[in-house]
Amino acid sequence: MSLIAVVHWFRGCVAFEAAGKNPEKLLNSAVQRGIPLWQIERRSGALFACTTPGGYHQLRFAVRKTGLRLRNKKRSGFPFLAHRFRRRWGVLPGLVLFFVLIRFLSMFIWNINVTGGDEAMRRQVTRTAASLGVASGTWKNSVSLKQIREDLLREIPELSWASMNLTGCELNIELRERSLPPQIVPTDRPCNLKARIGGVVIRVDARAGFAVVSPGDTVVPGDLLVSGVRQDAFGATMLRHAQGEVIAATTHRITCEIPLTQKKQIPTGETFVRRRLAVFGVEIPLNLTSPPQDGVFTRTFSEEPVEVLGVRVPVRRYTETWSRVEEKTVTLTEQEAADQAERELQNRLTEQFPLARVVSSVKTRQIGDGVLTLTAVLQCEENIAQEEQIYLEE
Amino acid sequence: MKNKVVPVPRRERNNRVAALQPFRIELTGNCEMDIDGCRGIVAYDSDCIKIALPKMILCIYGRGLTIRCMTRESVTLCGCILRTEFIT
Repeated sequence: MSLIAVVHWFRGCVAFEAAGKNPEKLLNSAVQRGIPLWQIERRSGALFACTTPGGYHQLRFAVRKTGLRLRNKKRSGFPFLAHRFRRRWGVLPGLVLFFVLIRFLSMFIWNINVTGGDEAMRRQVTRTAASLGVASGTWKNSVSLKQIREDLLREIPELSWASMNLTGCELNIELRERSLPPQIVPTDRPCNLKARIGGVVIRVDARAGFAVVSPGDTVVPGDLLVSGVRQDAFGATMLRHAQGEVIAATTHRITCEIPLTQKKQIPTGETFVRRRLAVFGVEIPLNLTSPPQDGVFTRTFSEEPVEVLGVRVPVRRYTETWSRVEEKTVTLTEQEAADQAERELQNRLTEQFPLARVVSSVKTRQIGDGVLTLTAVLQCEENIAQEEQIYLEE
Repeated sequence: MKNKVVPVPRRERNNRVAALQPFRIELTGNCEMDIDGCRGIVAYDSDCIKIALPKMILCIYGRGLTIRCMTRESVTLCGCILRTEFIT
């Protein structure tokens, strides 16, 4: 919309038709009187033009001498709009209140977006930021983002970097989690490689240092595998930072016990839902009834942001779902218990021996006293070398 | 006998001044024409517009001719202008 069109709208616009002979006289007369005219066209023998409301009023006098017939075609613009709403005295104060409200609401933080890291880290950052005074509904001028960022990095040592940017009413926090380095001996210090666990050596790959064991040797935990100390032919002692891998065949034994009779919580289907809204951090309950007091229930909790026309507003909807459950004693069949034991076995293997490669396994299953016991003896291959620093007397 | 100075009426004075001021025509392509220094419209039609200039009349021939805006001494025309003619 051009500036001229805006000005015409505010002044008001009356489109009229002048029919008759010699409409040029009307144009010259209007110009002499200072009546503004625009969009002047000649169509079907008549003259069409636009003027201001005051100009149209004067034209009625000017048209008398010309013998033309003047007809009002369309009226538009702010003066006509204001005249239509002249009895609604609340329009103007309402308009003023609207702009004041918008200005007031824009002084608060509406939403906080956290990106980077996993879900648990994002939740922790949101909680920590709230404890430091930054949450939905916080007045923007009351917080120093630089100070909050420094406090956040101090409170959560797992973060290596965080940035906070306030865009309008939305606070964007970007995170980078710290990658902890492995515990190793610095390469400028001498060290040995010793056995972490016992086994039979399969392969020795000593990139630095002097191998002490060879394939086929049996070692126990703590045995020296690659030495960082050696004496040369002249009796001088050479110190090295031993590096490398010693792959050995190891044996691990894992036992899982699964009771055949178990108590499980089975939902009955009866549910109870409670909802509430949070506006700028103030919670408004939507249910007035209290949660059930008798029976056993499981509770699930969900939180959803509210969007209006694609824009997130500082309103969150919380839903609590209470589901009644009853405890039942379930008796597993042998196969079901075996499957459960197998899953437990795999979990423990991944958890306790992440670096081991299972070559073969022997599993035995026993049932006694209502308990199924699954015992697995695993033959694995893994790197058993572990760095150990050599401390020198000064 | 001394020469008497006869005061000239203001309207006659303005007409003389207007007659001496040159008019200016600015043509943008063949779609728009600005005329400064005109004295009114003599005839207006969608294919012919006659404008009064000092000591002559300017005829503009074309198609779909409209007057975008008009003041006491200037006028802006729009449309497809084919030819112009000065009538003295």
